[in-house]
Amino acid sequence: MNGFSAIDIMLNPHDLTEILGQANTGGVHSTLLVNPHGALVAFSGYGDNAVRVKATISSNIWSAYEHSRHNAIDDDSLHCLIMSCQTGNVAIHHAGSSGLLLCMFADKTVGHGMLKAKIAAMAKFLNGPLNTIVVS
Amino acid sequence: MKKKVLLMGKSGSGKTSMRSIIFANYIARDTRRLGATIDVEHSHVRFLGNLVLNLWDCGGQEAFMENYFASQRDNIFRNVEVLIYVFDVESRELEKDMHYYQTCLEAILQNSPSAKIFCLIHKMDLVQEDQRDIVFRDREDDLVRLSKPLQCACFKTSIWDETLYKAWSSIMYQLIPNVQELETNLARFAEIINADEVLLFEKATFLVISHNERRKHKDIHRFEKISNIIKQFKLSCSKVAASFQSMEVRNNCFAAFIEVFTSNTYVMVIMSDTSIPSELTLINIRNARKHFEKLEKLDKNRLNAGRQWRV
Repeated sequence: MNGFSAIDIMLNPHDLTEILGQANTGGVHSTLLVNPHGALVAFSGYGDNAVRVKATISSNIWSAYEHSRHNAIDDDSLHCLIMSCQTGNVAIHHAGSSGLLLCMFADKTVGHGMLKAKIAAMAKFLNGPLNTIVVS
Repeated sequence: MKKKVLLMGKSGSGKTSMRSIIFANYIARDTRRLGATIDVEHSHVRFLGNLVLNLWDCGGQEAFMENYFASQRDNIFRNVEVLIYVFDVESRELEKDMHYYQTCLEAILQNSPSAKIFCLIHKMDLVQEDQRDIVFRDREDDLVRLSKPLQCACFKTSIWDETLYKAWSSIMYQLIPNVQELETNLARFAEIINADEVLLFEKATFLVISHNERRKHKDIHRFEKISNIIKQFKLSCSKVAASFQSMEVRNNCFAAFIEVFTSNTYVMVIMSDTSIPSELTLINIRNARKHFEKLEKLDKNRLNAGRQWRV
């Protein structure tokens, strides 16, 4: 019985962490995956802790903008959010179709364009595995 | 799919109490109210959804036992999958006990020669702790010898600790049709999610029906201990009209997740890498659920299809 194909649709923690870690170069210091409720799913990075707090806050910000888009003329769903903060830049992006979010935290030295390019590339790469899993 | 399980043994040896605790959600204390079983008590117990155990709890009083071996012999001993014989460790009539046991075996040999035989040396709590192993080994040797040419598996049990669960888990394990398949899939699951260990419990009884160990553990009795603990917790939940669904236990050395899995099972996942966020493990469990549910359905269909061929 060839039932193993279904069971391969799961996320190996080490592999996932390694993939996320590939973005952490040139000023980007952490990359995370967050679920729609704000719970941390995976992360890779260095620097300060409080990763879970960052995850929840990012998810909240995303939800706030996601809800307000109903008022906008453009009917497209939110793709990417880039924030410029005091000590660094943050990018949040859709990951897969089940509501997971990809977040990247970087120093001020990383330009918005570079950050956007990195997160879009990562999201595109993760689309494959993340589209097949059920998140909640 | 019906499987016939005979539960036999002398009067007062603890058969009905055992059955009540494993299948009817009694706690050990509740069994005090049980009276002597009259003749044979039939119960159909659903196990793992599609398995129906036809449990024959045979009253152990002499009059009944004489009856079984005489007039009801064929009826009782035919089509038996499993014979569970209970011995009271404190019994003063060892000779008589053995005599009845052997008479049962004769009937089994004649009517259901391929039945699996389990001997439970029960009420071990009444034996001093340091004596238990010796007493058990002694009885086990006798029973194995007397059971020849049939083979029996012996367990020491007590309703007051986890040993009851160990025995019944092993018994149930023999009755599950697709156990190998379950284990292979569980192994694959454990590997992908990086778990130290994964256990599968039957939903109602919380008996461990399958497990995969990726990292060695010292305590060989952990399965039955966990069954016992969770079952007690589940029962106290139902006392406040709450149904137990899931639990996460975490400290700096490990994280354990107990979740409803398929319609007939619960799963327990142990992770020793505490840096892995809980949500990731939960997502993986959710996704594996579909696969295992499919396995269960396939098995059910296989059994049903097989049934149609019988005339």
